[in-house]
Amino acid sequence: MTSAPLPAAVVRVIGRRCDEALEALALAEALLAQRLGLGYIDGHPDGDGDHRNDGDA
Amino acid sequence: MGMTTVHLTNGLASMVGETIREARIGRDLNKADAARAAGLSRRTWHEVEEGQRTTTTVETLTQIEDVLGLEPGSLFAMTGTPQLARAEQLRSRALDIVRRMSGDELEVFVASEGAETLRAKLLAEMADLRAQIEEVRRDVGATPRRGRTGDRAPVR
Repeated sequence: MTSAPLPAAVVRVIGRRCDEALEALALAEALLAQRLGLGYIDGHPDGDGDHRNDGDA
Repeated sequence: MGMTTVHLTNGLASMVGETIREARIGRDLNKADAARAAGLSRRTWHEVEEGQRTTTTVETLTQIEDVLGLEPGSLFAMTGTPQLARAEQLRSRALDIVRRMSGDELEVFVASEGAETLRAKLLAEMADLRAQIEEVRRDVGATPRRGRTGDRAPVR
């Protein structure tokens, strides 16, 4: 589908919304780490890269 | 002569207002002078610029474009620009995740689904959102804000 390029002002507004959305996601990630733990980083529940002691308090 | 009414969602009204504010400031006009030049009341201008008007007319938008030197029809075109609506919707979904992550309801979900399942679901949702945001950005050719987003380090 071809369409005329959007005016620069509109592109800036869209870009700002995208930035705000990404900032919100970064905050959500920080909250997730804080409230549900960091273990997702390496794909293992305790975040240490191996399965030993996974899930231990 | 009849007026052509335009209905906007709150998000779109706010984005149209943002575009108007940026153009007005770029022209070094205050709201009162801009309104006068457009033949609109100060209140109308203020409400449109603040995104408080979810119902306006093509004629009002045209008068605003004229005074601000915006491309004719560009404000009206915004209302039918799918990328705008999508960017607004994605931001709203991202903020919704923040709300869910901040509130007490998180404990309820942890209790019912388990932390692992919930974490996996949230991560998948966030990854999906992030991909969609980047897609919109690429689609319109918007550049990321320098130093704020883009090559972010993972959460540690």
